[in-house]
Amino acid sequence: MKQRFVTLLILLIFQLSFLHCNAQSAAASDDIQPITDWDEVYSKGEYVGLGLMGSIKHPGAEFNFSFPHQFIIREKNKRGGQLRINKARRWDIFARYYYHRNFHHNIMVSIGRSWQRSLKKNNFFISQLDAGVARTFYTNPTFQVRNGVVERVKFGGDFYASINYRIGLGKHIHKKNDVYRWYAYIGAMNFVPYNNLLYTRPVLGVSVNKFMKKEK
Amino acid sequence: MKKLAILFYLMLIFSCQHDKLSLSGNTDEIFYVKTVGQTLPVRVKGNTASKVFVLYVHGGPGDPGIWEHNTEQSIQFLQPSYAAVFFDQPFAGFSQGNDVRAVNLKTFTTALQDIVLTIQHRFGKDLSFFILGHSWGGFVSAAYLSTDSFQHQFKGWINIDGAHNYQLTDTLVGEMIKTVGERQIIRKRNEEKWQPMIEWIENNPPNGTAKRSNDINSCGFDAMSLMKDSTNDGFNINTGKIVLGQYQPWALTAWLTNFIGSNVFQLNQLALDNEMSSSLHSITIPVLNIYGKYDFIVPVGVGEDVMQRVGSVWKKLVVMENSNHNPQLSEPEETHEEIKSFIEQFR
Repeated sequence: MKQRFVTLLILLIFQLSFLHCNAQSAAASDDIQPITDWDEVYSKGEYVGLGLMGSIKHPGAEFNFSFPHQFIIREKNKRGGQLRINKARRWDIFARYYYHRNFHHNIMVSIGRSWQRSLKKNNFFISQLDAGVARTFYTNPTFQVRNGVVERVKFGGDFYASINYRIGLGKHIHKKNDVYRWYAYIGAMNFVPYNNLLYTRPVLGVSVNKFMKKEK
Repeated sequence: MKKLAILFYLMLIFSCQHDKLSLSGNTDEIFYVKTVGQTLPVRVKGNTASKVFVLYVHGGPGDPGIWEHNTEQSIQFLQPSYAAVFFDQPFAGFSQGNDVRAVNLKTFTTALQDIVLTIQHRFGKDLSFFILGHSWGGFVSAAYLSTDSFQHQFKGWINIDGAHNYQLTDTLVGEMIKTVGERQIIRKRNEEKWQPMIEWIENNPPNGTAKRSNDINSCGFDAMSLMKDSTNDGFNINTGKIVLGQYQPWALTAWLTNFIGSNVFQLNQLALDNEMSSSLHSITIPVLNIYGKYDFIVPVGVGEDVMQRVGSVWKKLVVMENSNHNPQLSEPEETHEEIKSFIEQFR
């Protein structure tokens, strides 16, 4: 029951995030939020974040910390005038965990890269790739036979290389002198070598970040 | 300090899970066995107080045990009286691990033996074991029972549509498609479908390769779907329930990964290269064979081969008149009646 509730909550947040993006675009004239200065927040500042993630019935959480790397501005000539597109390339550190009943707990640590592009009205598109290590812990008692004797395996589990990719949409939010952002994403977590192939696990989630640098 | 206390309590919880379990009329216990480089989920469900444990060796290769252990028809007759043991074989279902190694016959027999020893460790030594192999599981069971003295841990072997000899199976599938197909053409039933199937079978006899064996198997499935005399109700699996995890507590994508990655060709080649007919004489425990009359995947003739070759004093072949490849699903009451009377006789 609890798991279903968490799943529904994640799905709901995920869907609402997209609805919210559209609603914001439609009600542009009522938007009292200042336009995010990408140069200011992305060229130098770090951000830290927390998120909920999971797949159907299997909840998880993540922590991330991001460092700036590149900031690119593209000007495009459009009919209505010039359009400025901001792009940010960043380095990220992720720590993740999910629980899958009767299968395993999984703790992952990884380093990754974010590609980000500004959209209208403080919205943005994000694409993230990261790689690291994962350690599973079996959820149920585990046994092993050595020389005909059955032994209990404590904290049994496996190490895997973890390679993950996700894409998402998000929005910046300004509160006093602080800048926050949140984004919802869909992606795949991969673990290798898993038996004789790899284990791919779909994931969706929502992440909230706080920029460390205050706005002037 | 608070964090340390939480960690301590967590460790306490882990250490409190008992190795030994008490027997009961309604057990549902899931545990793992780490063996042959993989960790296999094992589920013991039903009446463990009976001290009769039926070890279900699933089909495939590469299938998950979920078809068997969560398809209600296949177990509802067993569980009130006995304990049913379901597990996922190496490279199948929800087995997990990162120790990649070459697959051979010993991979499967060792895994099975380790599971038996673990069940004895958890539920007691004085148990009556029966092994029930279905399809590919029949091959694994035959390999296991003819290895060392493993068979003496068991009171009997229940062989449902078991394919202990792949080469023979492929030959018999071809013969069955030709015989039944010609009869169906005379009766003007689906002649436009039977004719190309017969021609294909005539031009593509078994050649010992997994590719050809797979193609013959697919042809068998096509033929089976044309036979209206066999029931197939048990195959109405509710996909929604599987996706939502109601049929199984394990991971759907892990199963798909194993299914894709298990390399069915490699496992089928393993079976083709290791026919068990010549080893059956060493099996001396009672054997109950149950085959479906309309089974184009593993025809009745394969069961007849077991009857001729097995060294058992007590052996029986039952042909289910309205079944194809899954008599435990299509004629569950009749199939389980046979199984129950067999178990009661030898428990």
